[in-house]
Amino acid sequence: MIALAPCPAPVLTTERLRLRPMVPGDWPAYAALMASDRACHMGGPFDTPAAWGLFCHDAAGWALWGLGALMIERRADGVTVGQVGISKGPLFPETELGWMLYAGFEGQGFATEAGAALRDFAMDRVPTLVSYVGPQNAASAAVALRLGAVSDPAAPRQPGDDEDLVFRHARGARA
Amino acid sequence: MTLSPAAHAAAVPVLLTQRLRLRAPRLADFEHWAAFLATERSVHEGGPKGRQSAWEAWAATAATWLLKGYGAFGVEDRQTGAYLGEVGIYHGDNFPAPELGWFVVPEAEGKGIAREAAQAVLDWLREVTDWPHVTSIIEPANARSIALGLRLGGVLDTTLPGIDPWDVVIRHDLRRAQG
Repeated sequence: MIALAPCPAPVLTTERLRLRPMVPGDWPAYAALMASDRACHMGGPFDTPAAWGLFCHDAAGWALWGLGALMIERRADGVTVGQVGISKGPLFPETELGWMLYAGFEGQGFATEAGAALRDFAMDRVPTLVSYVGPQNAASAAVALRLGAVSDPAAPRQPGDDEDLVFRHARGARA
Repeated sequence: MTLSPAAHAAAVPVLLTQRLRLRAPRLADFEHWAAFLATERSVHEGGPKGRQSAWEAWAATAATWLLKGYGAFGVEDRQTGAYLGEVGIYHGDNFPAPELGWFVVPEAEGKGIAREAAQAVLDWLREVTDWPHVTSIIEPANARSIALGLRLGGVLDTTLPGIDPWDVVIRHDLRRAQG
């Protein structure tokens, strides 16, 4: 269609994964996840307009502040297994590292592997980096801990998310 | 590998008109949009809405350039650099096709700013796309926007889909008739 300059998002490669820019074709699976009970730990489930806003927020970060979300592909077969992303902007008290996996891809360390790669990429570009985790989301809290992040009960939350756990990432953390 | 927002902004074209400079959306633009959506002026855009909804809408504006390769421009006064509004191509997930839309801040109303900017966008589309036309999708009660769509040379087209069934659809032809 229109030949525009390349997307400013990078491709990051890890042992098993390829983290690549979002494309319009990612929307159906993303929307389905956001409409499902899997989104309950993210403040959802979300209706389609809200999910579209989130999808666009995830992509727009690369244009607006040079950091955003990447889709997680399994290198072995090119299957998209989830998303990892950096969020900031007017609604975030601090820069956030977040992750989600599509159904069926949990329990294999993909979120930790992808989260570590994006954390390392982002760490020198942001003043602080935290992960907000829903209070009932034990799996995500476990990922944060595996990434070497430390719980910070005093960290500011987004309005309405007072119950969130906040994990603070540090340079040189493990994983 | 291009990484910085500045580099992205450089990748989005800059369109110049007699009075205006159209450039990539930038984060500071959001506050103007949020202020607009917080008031009754936004009733034709589904408002008034809070900041969360405003961000979802505006993030979509910024993301369209990344996801589709086209999008909406921030409109500035060429002389002063003052932000005047946003004009360009919108393409939400529920849109039938790319849409030409516009928004101006209250201080810029009634001065032909949206028309001048939208004309520049139409000229740009003629140059860089092979689209036969682009539509503006407008709520029936938004008489000012309908009038602007027609002043731009658009025509009402009841055969093209809107977003809601009651929407007014104005078609802007981008190609001259052959022959």
